[in-house]
Amino acid sequence: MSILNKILFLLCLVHSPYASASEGRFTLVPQGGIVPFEATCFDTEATAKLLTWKEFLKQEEQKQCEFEKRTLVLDYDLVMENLQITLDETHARTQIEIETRDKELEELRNIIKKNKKLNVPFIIGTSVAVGFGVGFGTYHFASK
Amino acid sequence: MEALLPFLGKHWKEIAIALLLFVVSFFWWQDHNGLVNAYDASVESYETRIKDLKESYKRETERKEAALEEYQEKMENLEDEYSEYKNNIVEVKSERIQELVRLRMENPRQLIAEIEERFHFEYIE
Repeated sequence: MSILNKILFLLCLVHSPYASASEGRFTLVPQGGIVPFEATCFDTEATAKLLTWKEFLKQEEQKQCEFEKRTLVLDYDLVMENLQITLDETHARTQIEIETRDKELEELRNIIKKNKKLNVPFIIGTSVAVGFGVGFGTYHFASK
Repeated sequence: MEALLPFLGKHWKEIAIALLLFVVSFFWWQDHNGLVNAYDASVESYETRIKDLKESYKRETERKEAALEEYQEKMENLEDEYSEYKNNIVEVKSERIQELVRLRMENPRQLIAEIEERFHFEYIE
């Protein structure tokens, strides 16, 4: 096969109906008319529905996507708010524990302080009384 | 004083024991009183803590319920809005279908142009 024949064969392949990828064909046919190619026929209503579906498809998908997104945001916000509330209240409870324990400790310290304060004069008084008693007893025995 | 001294001299042991008992009793009473006060302080502290913790848990529940209510309200609004949109789009699409049906009768060239634009199909005469 010569080079020219090969080129012609390739050109035939390129221009064959199978090689050219068509997007699709359509025609408007009156009732009883003949379609010049093999076709699936839709009536005007069905065609209008298909056109409308295509026309609104993007808008509807966008709206649905937006709805799903806003729903997710609301869910997420609720979870976050609940976590924040739990955090706040846990913090508040920890503060309550600390404050009441501090207060209790302070009161216990005061009680201990008060007891210590009271002990000293009574120990002195008791010592004086015992000393007096011992002295008096000694004097008594010595005078006998 | 003259009568007291012989009495004290005679009963100094009993008086010393009585004094000792008094002192021991006093210290015992003081310790007991301190323990009672410490116990009271602990009880008061626990009561305060329990009260405040209960308030905190109640507040937490109320806040969470309020957040949930707000969420439900917002979700309902969102669903209503979307539902309204869907109802509206059904009407708009219906009108558009009727418009295209009319277009087929009145201006087929424009319908052809629309089909070409939307689907990129090739028109065959």
